[in-house]
Amino acid sequence: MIENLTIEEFVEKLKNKEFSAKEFFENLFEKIEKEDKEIGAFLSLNEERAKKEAEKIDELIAKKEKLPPLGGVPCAIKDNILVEGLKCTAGSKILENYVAPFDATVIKKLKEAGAIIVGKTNLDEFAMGSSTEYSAFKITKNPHDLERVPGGSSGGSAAAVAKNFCLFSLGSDTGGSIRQPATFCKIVGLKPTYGAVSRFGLIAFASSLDQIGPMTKNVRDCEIVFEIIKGKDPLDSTSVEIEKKFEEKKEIKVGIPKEYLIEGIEIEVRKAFEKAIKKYQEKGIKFEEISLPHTEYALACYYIIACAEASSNLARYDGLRYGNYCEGVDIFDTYSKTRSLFGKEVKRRIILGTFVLSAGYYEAFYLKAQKVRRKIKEDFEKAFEKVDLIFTPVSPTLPFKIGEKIEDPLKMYLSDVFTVSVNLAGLPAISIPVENLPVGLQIIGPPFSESKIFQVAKIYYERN
Amino acid sequence: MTEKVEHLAKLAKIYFEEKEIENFKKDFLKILEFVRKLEELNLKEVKPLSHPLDLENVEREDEEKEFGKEKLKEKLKESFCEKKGDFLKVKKIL
Repeated sequence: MIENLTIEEFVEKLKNKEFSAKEFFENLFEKIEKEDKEIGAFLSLNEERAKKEAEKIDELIAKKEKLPPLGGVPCAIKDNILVEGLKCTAGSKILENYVAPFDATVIKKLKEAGAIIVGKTNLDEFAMGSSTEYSAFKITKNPHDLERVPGGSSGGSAAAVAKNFCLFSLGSDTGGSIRQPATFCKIVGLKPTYGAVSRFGLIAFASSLDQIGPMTKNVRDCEIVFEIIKGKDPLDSTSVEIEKKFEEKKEIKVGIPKEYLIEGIEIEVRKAFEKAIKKYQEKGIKFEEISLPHTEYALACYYIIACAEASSNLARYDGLRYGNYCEGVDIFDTYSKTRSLFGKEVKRRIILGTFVLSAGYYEAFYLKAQKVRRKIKEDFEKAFEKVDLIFTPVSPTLPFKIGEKIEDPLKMYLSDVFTVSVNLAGLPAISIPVENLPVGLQIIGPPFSESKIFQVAKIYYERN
Repeated sequence: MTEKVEHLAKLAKIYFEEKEIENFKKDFLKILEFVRKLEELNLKEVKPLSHPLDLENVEREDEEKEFGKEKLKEKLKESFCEKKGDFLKVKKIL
């Protein structure tokens, strides 16, 4: 039943007593128990509390009280976002036993809106990866093809939505970690404008790039969840209120950056992308070729900046504060033994980050990357003087096989080649599935243009 | 290069097995080669950008603030490995 329901339909049916929240959640947990063995979307479940919350929702309905906007809506949360009283592992051995002492701001908002948390989802350790294979605990399989990865790092959140274990989930996106798994699992995912959503309670990876965002079955649901989680938060000084209002323009002009249709993009992806554009043209959207000249430097720039910030953010895992620790002869020995619990990819990134920030290399690497970052941001600013939105594919390839790229970090990094620029420039971008394939259309807008992005994303699915 | 990686590991306070270092070095060199691509660009006049928003440093008074309930303090202490009463114990530094 959950398969065909949108958020609004679900709440409506609850209100009309077509089913009770209690029976719904009982069935849902039975389904997860049965089906998640094969998929591995969840790291932990919140069954007892969810069922209690469901009963409360039924009581509200029985008393004919007003239901909050997400009243009883089941959701799944990436396991790097804090939910009070639940384990929050970030997919890492180092946080294996860490229980979140408070709610992230997004969780507080979801709870106030009546959403019910089903469980915490699998991810690449500390959200570093593009396949969810770097999780310290398990791999997650793509629900559409069990031999393939669900994408990453929010692979568990994407698989949970695709497999109908929930109506929506939250992911986090530092370089593509919402958009690429949304693409691979054929769902919708939004990376909001930097600052649009509070990061308080998100386990930090690269603070100038990280954003939390919704992953849903359709664009309208994505909009609903985004409207609830967005907004300025006194606990995150980088969060801002969206004040800009975009007028609904009759004629929308979209730019296609010529640098994105590179060699190495799989033919199926290119074909689906071109078909999607054709569909938009038939609906009256105008297209023109644009140039984002620094695109080819974005990935190198991203890895320097993301790793530099990660090496600093992950310094807090010293074995003293968050549970797991390994006893050493003195404090430094304790630090380094505890930190050897980090997985291979996390260690790689910490070492690279340490290197680019170290004396003698800072100017040549980190400072240079910051300069390239400005050029990339300026490329977008110039483009948005001419066009309203930019379209690109999300991933250059279709979902790859489990194990295919795990031994080659550079190959894995190339999965993010179309998504990282958006994070460097702090822009909003959505991934929507096109042509019923695991191919995503990425719609990028100027800062705080989410409403316009939703408007144009919906056009794709409108019947003529 | 092995020495270099060992030095970085020391700076980052991560313990590596000897065998691990060798594999690690190979990957590290490949990644380094890849990020060197930025050397192609002449960026002398460009101002570095550290953050996508024009933010100013946010300062506040150094004062105690209420966050959550008394419970929170207990929960924060719980995840700390060694403690005594309200004190958290760390290994000696000097």
